[in-house]
Amino acid sequence: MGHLVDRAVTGLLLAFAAVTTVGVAILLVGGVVPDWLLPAALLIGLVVPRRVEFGVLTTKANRWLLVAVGLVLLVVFAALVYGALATPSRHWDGAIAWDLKAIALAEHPTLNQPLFQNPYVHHHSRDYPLFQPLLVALTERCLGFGRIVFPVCWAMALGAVGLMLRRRGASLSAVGIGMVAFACTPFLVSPTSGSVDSGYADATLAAWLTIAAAGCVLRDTRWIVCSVILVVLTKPEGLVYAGLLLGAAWLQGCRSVLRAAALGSVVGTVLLLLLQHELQFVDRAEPPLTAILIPIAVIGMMVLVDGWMDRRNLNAWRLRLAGILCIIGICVMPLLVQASGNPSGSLAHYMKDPWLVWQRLELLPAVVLSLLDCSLLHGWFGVTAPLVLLAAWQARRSKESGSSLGTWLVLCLPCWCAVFLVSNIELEHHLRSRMPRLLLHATGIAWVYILATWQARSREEHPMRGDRAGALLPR
Amino acid sequence: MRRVSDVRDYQQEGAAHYFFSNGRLDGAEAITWLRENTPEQSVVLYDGPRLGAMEFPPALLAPRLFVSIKHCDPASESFAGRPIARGEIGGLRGTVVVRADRGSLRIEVR
Repeated sequence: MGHLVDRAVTGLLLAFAAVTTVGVAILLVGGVVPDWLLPAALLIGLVVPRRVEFGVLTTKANRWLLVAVGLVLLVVFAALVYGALATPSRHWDGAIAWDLKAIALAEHPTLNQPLFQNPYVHHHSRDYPLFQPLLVALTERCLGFGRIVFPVCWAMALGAVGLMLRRRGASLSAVGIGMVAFACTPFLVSPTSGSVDSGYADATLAAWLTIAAAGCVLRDTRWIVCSVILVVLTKPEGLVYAGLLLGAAWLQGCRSVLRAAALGSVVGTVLLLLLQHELQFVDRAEPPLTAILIPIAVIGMMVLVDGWMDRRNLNAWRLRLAGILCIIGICVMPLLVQASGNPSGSLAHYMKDPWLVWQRLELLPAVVLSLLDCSLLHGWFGVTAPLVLLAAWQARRSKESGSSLGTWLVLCLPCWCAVFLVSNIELEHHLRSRMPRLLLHATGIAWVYILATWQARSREEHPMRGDRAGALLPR
Repeated sequence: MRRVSDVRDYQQEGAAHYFFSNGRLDGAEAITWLRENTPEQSVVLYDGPRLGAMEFPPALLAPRLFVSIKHCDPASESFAGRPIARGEIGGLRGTVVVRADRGSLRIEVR
């Protein structure tokens, strides 16, 4: 069963990464994405050889618990499939920003059409990445129900959480409880703006971030590379999350995670910057060479410096060096935005003047209060936030696999606050509409962190349980 | 259950009325009029801010394209290779223009 789920999750992930990489490249050269691309990528993804070790089960599973878990997940999946397929998007951004592009690409899977080619045609969020609309469009052309990809992405993230626990030697009961805890996070599955079947890209982004987090725990290079490519090409914020993962892996000295995330980030970022430039300027200007060179140079430098510091045993200096580099990064951010090839785009809007954060610091208490309000009250995220704090307390002295995830989550906090401080949107409305969706992005990372910490603790208390699986993880 | 009732409302009211009533916007009937009176492969002109109510027509009326009158003279015959939508309201025939503000849409003929 585990091998079957692993093959399905990994196969779909490889296929989607191939579709987005090849598909965006075809769009960039003005071609038509062929209908056979998705089925061919799925076929290749599902037959690519893969050998994964699962821990030996030493405890007997509670059969009734597993039946209950299976039923709950089946009912939730059925509700999401119904919600996704019954109508087009029923929420604002889903309809205006994402459905429109998916409809256009389903009709003609090319950028060679007036919606994308003519800058005067009204087109919301013109420079947003196109992976989700492209995937929906290609699935629509193949199967006739493209929106099935939304519950499929949820199921992939769910499968990754379960596989993460099983490959670390957790009992089937623990796997079941962990999967239900993540999969039934209210904001993820309730019929609200941003949830799985809303048509927004936030839940899709959260799914790739969940798989990336599970890949970090398992040191699974394929999962990290593919999911980071998808993260970057799903929503503009994905670029920031990929950067934060690189930063977390670099700070923690997790070389295997850093290198895999670096490869995914370079591929994703180069394609994203070229695509954003094309969507914004539609052939009226050549994309600057710097749009390709900047991500390669910055990410390559991170990998090289990581290796150098490790060889010189300078790991204690990582945090101080990161602090200095952050300040330099903020200072040169406006220049980077100019050199990115899309200085008037959606991401540039938030990055072109980072010093606004200091000028608007008086807004910070309201932003932090909203963060606490959304994460702890209302029940949108259940007990995720308190459990993350508990897991962080448990893991404070551990150098286990979840440590880069903890750092990743911590790095998200200042970025989320900065979004509201640099924006010109009226604060109360912005907080209300955006804060829950930002928290949704990290829900999967948080649950993988909680469950990995819990599993590590369980292994420490019962060293015989799952020790073989733990020994199999590369360092 | 809310998902089921949302789907039922969407199917019963139609996309335009569903979005406009949920978003407290006026002018869902403008969407209906455009769907019934303009060709799919046409360009519809609009006058007003692109944010707010005007965000919905491109998605709800695809593949029609929407272009601001700032970028296209209403007297033109075509834009981007497509004919500009023309129609008749109250006996007046001319170029169809969607008059938009943040919270509402209405149809004019110029």
